[in-house]
Amino acid sequence: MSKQTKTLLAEVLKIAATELTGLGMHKTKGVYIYPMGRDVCGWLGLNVAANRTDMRLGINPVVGIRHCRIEKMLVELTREEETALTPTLSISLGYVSPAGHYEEWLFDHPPFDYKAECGRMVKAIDIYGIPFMKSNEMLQAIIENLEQVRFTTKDSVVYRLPVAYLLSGKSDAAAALATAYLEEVKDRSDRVAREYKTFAANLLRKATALASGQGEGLIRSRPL
Amino acid sequence: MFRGLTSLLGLGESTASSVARGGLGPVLKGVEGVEKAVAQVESEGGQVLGREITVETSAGRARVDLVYKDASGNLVLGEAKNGPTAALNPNQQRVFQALSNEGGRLVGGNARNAGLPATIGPGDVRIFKY
Repeated sequence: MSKQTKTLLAEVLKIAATELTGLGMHKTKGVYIYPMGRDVCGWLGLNVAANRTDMRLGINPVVGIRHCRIEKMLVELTREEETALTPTLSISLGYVSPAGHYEEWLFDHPPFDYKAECGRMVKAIDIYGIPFMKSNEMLQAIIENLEQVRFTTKDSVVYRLPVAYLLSGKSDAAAALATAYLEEVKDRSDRVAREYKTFAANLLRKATALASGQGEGLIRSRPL
Repeated sequence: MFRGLTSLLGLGESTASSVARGGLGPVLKGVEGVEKAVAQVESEGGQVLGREITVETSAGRARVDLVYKDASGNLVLGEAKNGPTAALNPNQQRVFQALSNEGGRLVGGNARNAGLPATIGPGDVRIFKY
């Protein structure tokens, strides 16, 4: 990234931060959080294409929701340290706008009016992104999207859907799903497979405990 | 760039001019290649998840042009090469081979801001050659 582009990026992100704060968002661990309910918050990431060969700067706003209990339980079951605030569901803003396809906001050096363009980008987040967040607030809606691999990928579903089932009291469904994927990775020794084996073992233990009424109970909700 | 949003957002001429400058001007081959790759992914029923994502493997780090979800819901890494002489550089060859064999990690702010998982299993990087 050139020094000029770096300066432009810093300027654009600074303007965006001010405007997003005006929408009620706050930045935490590099992403923007939109407070919604006790267990759920809106999630926004600004994915930057700063190495375009035309020297312009592209920003792909990614909107999502974060179900705090799902994400907390995921951290607990994978035994991984939580280093980032991950979304439970997410998608590039262009796909939930009338455009219906991938869109990148492009920023150029002056005399291009990057301040106005930034304002338009934030306005689109407000008009299309926030309603998307609100439409996926309920755990049942999240489960349906995970089941359809909508606003997510299979890599994420194999972790989050069993956890979501567990949280909704469907211990059997959670165990069945984790067991099925465990079967797929049982002969693999790569990192992803190892991580899944740890996760699945912990989930199955928890599911069994919950089903027998001897569980440690569901994780209490904590903001973020 | 969001040409269709102009009227919906009530932005009028201001956006039209920014589109002309920001989206319709001549671009270089690298950008063209990525834009073609994005169009191809979408024509196949996929969705772009993120751009310029850094991957880390036992063979080192490299940046891929895009990460997308294919029509079956799988996460795929893609690299666009536009022009008859465009090819992977030696570092990309090493890193992509390691990804294919053992998987790797998606690291850095762009991976985080695209909402991507931290680790990915073994798989090929798809090369979009134009």
